[in-house]
Amino acid sequence: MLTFDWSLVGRYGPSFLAGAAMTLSVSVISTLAGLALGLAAALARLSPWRVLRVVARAYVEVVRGTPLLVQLFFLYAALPFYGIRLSALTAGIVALSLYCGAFAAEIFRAGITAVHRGHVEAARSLGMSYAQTIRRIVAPIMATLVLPPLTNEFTGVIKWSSLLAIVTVPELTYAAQRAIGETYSAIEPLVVSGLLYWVLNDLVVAAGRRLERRFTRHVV
Amino acid sequence: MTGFDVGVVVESLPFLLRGALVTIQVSALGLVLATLIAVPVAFGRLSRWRVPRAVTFLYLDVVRGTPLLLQLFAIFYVPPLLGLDLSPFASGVLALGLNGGAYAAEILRGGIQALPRGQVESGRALGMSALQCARRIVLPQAFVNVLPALANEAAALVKASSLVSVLALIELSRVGFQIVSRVLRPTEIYVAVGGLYLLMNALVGSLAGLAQRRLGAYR
Repeated sequence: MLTFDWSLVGRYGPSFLAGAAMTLSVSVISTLAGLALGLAAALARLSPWRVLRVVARAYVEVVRGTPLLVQLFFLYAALPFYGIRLSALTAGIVALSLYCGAFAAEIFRAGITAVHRGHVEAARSLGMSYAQTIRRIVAPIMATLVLPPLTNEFTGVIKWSSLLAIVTVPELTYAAQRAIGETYSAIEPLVVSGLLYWVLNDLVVAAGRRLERRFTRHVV
Repeated sequence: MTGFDVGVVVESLPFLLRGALVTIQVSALGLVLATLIAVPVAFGRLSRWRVPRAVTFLYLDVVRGTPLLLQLFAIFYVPPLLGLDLSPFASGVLALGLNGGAYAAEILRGGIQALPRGQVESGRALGMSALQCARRIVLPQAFVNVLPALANEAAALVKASSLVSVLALIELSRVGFQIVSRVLRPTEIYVAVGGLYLLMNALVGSLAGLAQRRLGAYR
């Protein structure tokens, strides 16, 4: 029967909110680390050194071509055999950061290559230093190009972070799973956790839109 | 314990390949279902009427706003409450289809909106019904235009199918986990599992390239 027991929402409310907080903090940390990693990988792919290009390309291809679940289990289960024991939370954050970084690398690479050569040459011929050109010309143009796909990426990380429940990180999906297991009712935990994910998702999208408007003030 | 024991990989390869076959089956059927869902949803989003717009918007927002894992739990727990008994394979196909359908619908909508208005207008002016226009004019062009994006989605779906292992479907990932828990050689097994996923994704990529050349041939 499909019924909705509100008392469950009250009883499990705190654990759901704690789960949502964990989901958000894991996602923020992993996205920030992923962005740094992605930018480094994008620059490496565009570098004149062959070794850097090959390494970065292998990283991007392998991570994008295999499921996050397998990567997570590799980090969590295989690394202890080499003497590296990661907690579930650490393994989860590392896996998510690596995953996010590979996708971000492609976004950054597209953004960097989309900046017109002429812009750079014009800035240089006006007497700007290389660093100034990057800061004043390349970075602002790139930011407007990469911001929408990166916002998308962040919402993706929030959803992917649900996999951490499988290695028992107490985030939102784990809270739902536990509530289902303890109460034998599925509808209430699924609806509540779904709504919380939806709120997190929409918050990120709204924040992304605001940033986008800030970055594109000069365009309109 | 160090070193990479190729023997372990060779020994478990028959099991892994059988798992990969299930992954291919569940992904392929999920992809078919996703396409069947995506076409009406894309047109529903662009409809003149409020009701189809609202219904498809709700579907897209719910599916794209929540994690696949949570959707899998829903497909695992909710149908039995309604008296439906789905096999793990059927639930897997259903989950991948419903999930992939939402992402594919948005891609397809972009493709439809990118077509020049004159295409539909001239079709209608030649006496075609709206349905005929959609089938003969809009869809063939929109599909070819968004094929690369759809191929990306298909590759993502193959990877997402690894999550179906939580429904107790014995596909590639789950076979991998089972072997690891028996032989305790995670490095070898996960490298082999990852390699098989890479292979399947390369297959999706080359199939998409082939389709692109074939379908794009008339232009």
